[in-house]
Amino acid sequence: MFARHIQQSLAFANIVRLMGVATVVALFGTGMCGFLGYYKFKSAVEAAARSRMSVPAASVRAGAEAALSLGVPLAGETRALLQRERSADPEIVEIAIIDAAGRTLLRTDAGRAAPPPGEVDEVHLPMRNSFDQPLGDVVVRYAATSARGALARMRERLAVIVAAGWIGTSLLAAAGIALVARRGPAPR
Amino acid sequence: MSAARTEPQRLQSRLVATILAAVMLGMLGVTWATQHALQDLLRPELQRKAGVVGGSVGELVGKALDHGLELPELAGVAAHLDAVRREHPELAWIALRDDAGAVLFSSGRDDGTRGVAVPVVHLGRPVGAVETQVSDAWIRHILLEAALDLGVVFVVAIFLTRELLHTFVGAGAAASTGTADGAPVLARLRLPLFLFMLAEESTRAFLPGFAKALAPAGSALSPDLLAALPIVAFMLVVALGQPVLATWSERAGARRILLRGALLGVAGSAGAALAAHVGTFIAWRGLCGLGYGMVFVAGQGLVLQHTTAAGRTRGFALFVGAIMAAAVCGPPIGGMLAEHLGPRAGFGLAAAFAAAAWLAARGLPADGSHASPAPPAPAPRDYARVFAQGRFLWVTALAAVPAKLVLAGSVFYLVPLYVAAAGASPSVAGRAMMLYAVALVLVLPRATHWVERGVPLARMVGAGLCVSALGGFALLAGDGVLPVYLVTALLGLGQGLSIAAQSSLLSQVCAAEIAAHGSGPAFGAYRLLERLGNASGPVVAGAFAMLAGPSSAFVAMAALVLACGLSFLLLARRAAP
Amino acid sequence: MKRRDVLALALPGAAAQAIAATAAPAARAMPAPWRIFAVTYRGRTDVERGFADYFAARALPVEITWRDIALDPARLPAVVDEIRRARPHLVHTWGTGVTLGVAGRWDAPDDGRHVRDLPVVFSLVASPVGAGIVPDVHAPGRPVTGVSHVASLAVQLQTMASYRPFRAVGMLHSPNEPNSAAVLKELQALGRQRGIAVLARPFHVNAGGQPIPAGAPELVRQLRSDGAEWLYMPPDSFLSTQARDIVVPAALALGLPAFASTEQLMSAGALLGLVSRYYNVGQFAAYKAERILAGKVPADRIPVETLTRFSLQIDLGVARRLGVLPPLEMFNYAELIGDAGKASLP
Repeated sequence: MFARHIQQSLAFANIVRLMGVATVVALFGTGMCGFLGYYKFKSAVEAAARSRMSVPAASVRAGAEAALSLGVPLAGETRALLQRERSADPEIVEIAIIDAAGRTLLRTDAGRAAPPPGEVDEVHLPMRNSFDQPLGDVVVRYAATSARGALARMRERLAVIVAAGWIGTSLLAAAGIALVARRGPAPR
Repeated sequence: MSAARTEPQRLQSRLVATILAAVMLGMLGVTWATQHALQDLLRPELQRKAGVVGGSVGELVGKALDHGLELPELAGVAAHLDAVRREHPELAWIALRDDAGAVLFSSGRDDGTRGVAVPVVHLGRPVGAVETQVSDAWIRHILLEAALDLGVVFVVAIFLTRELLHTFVGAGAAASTGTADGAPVLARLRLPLFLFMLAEESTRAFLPGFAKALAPAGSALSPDLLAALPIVAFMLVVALGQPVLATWSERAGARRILLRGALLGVAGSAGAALAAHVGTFIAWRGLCGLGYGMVFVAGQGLVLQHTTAAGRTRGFALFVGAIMAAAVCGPPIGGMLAEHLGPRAGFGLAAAFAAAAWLAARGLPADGSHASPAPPAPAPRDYARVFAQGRFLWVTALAAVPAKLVLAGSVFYLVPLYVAAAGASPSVAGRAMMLYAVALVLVLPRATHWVERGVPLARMVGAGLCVSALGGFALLAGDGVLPVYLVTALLGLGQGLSIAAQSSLLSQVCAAEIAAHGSGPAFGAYRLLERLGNASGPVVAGAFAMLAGPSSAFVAMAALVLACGLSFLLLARRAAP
Repeated sequence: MKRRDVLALALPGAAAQAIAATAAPAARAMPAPWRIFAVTYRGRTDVERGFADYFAARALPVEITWRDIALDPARLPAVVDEIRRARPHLVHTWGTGVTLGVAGRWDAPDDGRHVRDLPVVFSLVASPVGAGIVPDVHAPGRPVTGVSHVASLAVQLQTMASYRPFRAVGMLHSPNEPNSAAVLKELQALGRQRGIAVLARPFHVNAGGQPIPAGAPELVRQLRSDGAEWLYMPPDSFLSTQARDIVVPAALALGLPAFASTEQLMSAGALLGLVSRYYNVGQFAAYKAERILAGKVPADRIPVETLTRFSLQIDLGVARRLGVLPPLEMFNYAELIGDAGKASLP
C-alpha cells in the first residue's frame, strides 16, 4: 500500500521527490494564473484599441452612407472626410471603403510609412443602404503600437511575477513538507 | 474509504494539503500581483480611448454650436452622455464643462481621479471641454471574471497533486522496498497512462466545434452530423480493434504496444492540429483511436501480467483512477488553451502530452515472461450463449449501452456544440465536462461502499440511470450556460451510481456462463456493446441536433435514457435473481 | 426582320452591354436585356436616376423606355396603349396618379384600358391601400408592387417622441380623403397602445363635401387648447395645399410644433419631418424590379414596402422660434435646415 510505503521510507530521497511534485504543481498553478491573467489583459487592451478605432470608422460610415444614398460619387467630400479622420489619430495607417464584393472603392493616400505587415489590425464596420441591403464596409487599418507595447510590458512583468510566485510557492511547499515529514508518524 | 483512517493515510492527506495550501497561496499571490500590473498597464490604454470618445462627443457639440445653438441651452445632452457610457462601460464619468470649468451636463459619478479633457472648439476658440474618467471598479472587474477559471485551475491542481504523489512517491517507495506483488510496475504504469489519457481528454472541450468549423460550406451532410463523425471514428476504432489488439499485445509484448500506441497518439494529434479538411481530420482521429486502443489494451495487459488474482482489483482501480484523474484535469485545461490560443494549439498540447506519455512509458520494464499464463481464447459459441441470455441483454441494452450513449452523445458531443452555439468559449465546455468527472469521482467510492454493503444492484443501476437523465431536462427550463453544468453534474452522479453496480450485476446475471467459460466472453461482449454505444452516441445526438437544435437534443437524449432506465427497473422484477 | 430586331435591341442596350462586358465578362453570355417601360409624371427626378443607377451599378443589361406625361393625366391612355402593344418585361410608374392610370384599381374589372397582365412597380405612392392600388401591402394579390415614401406611423411617432416626448397629438384631416381616414384610424390604434391621446379635427366642408380652408386656424387653436403637444400632418392632399399659408403659421403662433410626413409638408414650415430620399426610393424600386425580372419572386408576392432609413429633417429656425431645440443626439444624423442662431430671430 502506498500509505505503508510512506510510513516505511521517509528517507531523504522521498522528501526530495515530494518537493519535486510540489514544484511541478506550483509551476502549473502559478503558470496558469499568469497565462489567464495575460489573456484577460490582452483581450481588454485589444478591445480598447478596436473600440477606439471604431469612432472614426463610425463617422466615415455616416458620411459614406449619406453620399451613397444620394447617388453622389464617393470622391470629393467623402475623400476629404477619410483624410480628416485618418489624420486625427497617428496610429491609423489607412481608412478604406470597400464594396460588398470586397473591391476598394476609396482609400486614403499612402501618406504614412507602412508598418510591417504582421502588425496591422483592422476594424470593419458594415454599411447598409436605406432598404437594409449591404453596401460594403468601412475598413480602418491601424498599427496598435501602444497596445502592443503594453502587451510586451505585461509579458515582462508577468514573467517576473510568475517566476517569483513559482519559486516562492515551491519554497513554501518545501518548508511545509519538511515540517509535516518531521512531525511524521511515531515509529512502531 | 474505511471508517478508521490509519496514521499513514492521515500523513498522506496532510502532505497533499500542505502542497495544495502552498499552491493556493502562490496562486493568490500571483493573481494579486497581476491585478496591480493590469491596473498600471491597462489604465493608459483606456485613457487613450476615453480621450477619443470625449473628442467625438466634443465634435457633436461643436456641430450643434456651428448651427447657432449655445452651450448652456443644448438639449438632451445628459441622455446622450448616458448612451455613450452604456456603449463604453469602462467610463465612470463624462461631463461637458463650459469655458469657466463649471459642469453643465454630466453622466455617472465623479470620483475625483484625474480625467482626460478634450476641448470643444467653436469658430477657432475653445468654448468648453468634454471630460471623461476611466472607472477603477471596471478595471478591477476584469480579473474577477477570471476567478472561475482560477478556481477550476485549483481543482485541477488538487487532482494533479494526487496523481503525481501516487506516481512518484509510490514508485520510489516501492522500488526501495522491492515488494514482489507487481506494485513497482503498476506505479510506473500510472504516469504514462495518466499523461496519455490527459492527451485525449484535453481535446474534448473543443473537438466538435473544430470539426464543425472545418466542414465545407456546401456539403450534403449537415455540419452538426459532420462534427459527430470524428468522435464516432475514434470510438469505432477502439471498439472494433479491441479483440485484435488484445491478441497482438499478448504476442508482441504489452510495453512495446504501449509505446507504439503512444507514438500513434502523438502522430494523430499532430495531424489533427494541422488538418485542413474535415475528412483528413476524421482520419487523424481514427489514428488517435488506434493509439488509444493500443495503450488501453496494453495497459490492461500489463495489469493482468503483473498482478495475481488477489491484487487484480487494486490494479484495475489504479487504471480507472488514472483515467478519472485525466478526465478531471484534461477538459478544462484544453478548453482554456483553445479559448486563448485556438483549437489547433489544443491539439498540439495533446500531442505534447502523448509524447510525454511515451517518454514516461520507456521506464516500464521490458516485456519478459508472463507472471500468469494467458487464458484460452473463448470460442464464438461461448459468445453466442452469452447473447442468448435474456438477462445479459437486459443489463447491456437497457443499462450499459444507454449510459455510454448519453455520455458520448450528450457530454462529448452536445456540450461543446451547445456551448459554442450559446456564444460561450470552450473553457465553459471544459468546466462542464470537469464537473461530470468530479461528480463521478466523488460518488464512485460511496456507491462502491453501498454495493459492498448489499444494496440491491438492479435498483442502483436503474436509479443511477434515471438520475443521469434528469439533467437533460434542465434545458426545458431555459437557455444559457447554467443548465449545461446541471446536465453534466447529474450525469456524473447518476453514472457513478450505475457503474459501481453494473459489473457486479453482470457477474451475477451471467454467473452460469462465467463459471462455464470464464469471464472473457461475458465481459468481452459487454465491453464491446458499451463501446458501440459510445460510437453511436454522437450520431444519435447529432441527428437530434440536426432536426431540432442542441437544446432539444439534450432533452431527447435525456428522455431516451429515462425510458431505458424505467424499463430496466420494470423488468428488474422479472429478471433479477 | 430578324436582323432589324437584333439591331433595335443592340443600340439602346449597347451602353449597358459595354458596362457589362467590362465589369462582368460572364454577363456576355446572359440573355437579351430586360425591357422596362418607365412612366414619369414630371420628367426625370432623382427617383428615375436611382432606378437607372441600380441596374448600371450591377451591370445588369436593361433597356428602359422613358415616357413622360408632363403633369397631364390625359396623356396616360396613349402611354397605356403603347405599353400593351410593346409588352415590356416590367413597367415602372411614378406616383399615385400615374400608377392608377396605368394599372387601375385592384377591385375594378378589366376594361381593356389598363395594364393588367404585366408586372408594375411603382414609386412614391403615399398610401397604396387607400388609393385602391393594392388590397394589402403585405400580399398585393396582383402583379403590382412598389415603394411607398411615407414612413410607417409607428416610426413617425417614435421620431416625434425622440425629439420631444409627448402625451397628446393633434391632427387635421380632410373628411373626403380615404387615405387620411385610414391614417387617423391607425393613429388612434397606436395611441391606445402607447397611452397617447389622439385629438383629431376635420377640415370644414362646403355643400359638395369638399374641404375648405375657412376656420382652419380656429381648428388649430382648439387642438392646442385641448392639449395637443404636436401637430401631426398626414399625407393629405388638401392639407398639403393649406399647410404653408394657413395651418403651419397658425400652429407656430400658438407654439405648437408641426411634424411633416412628406417632403412637401416639411417645406411648408414644419419643425420636424421624416422624408424619403427620392434616389433611394428609385433604388429600392429597382431592387424589387430586379427580383421580378430575374424570376426570383413573382410580382404578386413581393410586398409593398417603405425604406428602412429615412432622412430626418429639422428646421432649426422653426426650432428657435418655438424654443424647442433638438436633442444633441439628432445632430449626428439629422439633416439640418436653417440656423438656430438667436441673431436669426425676427
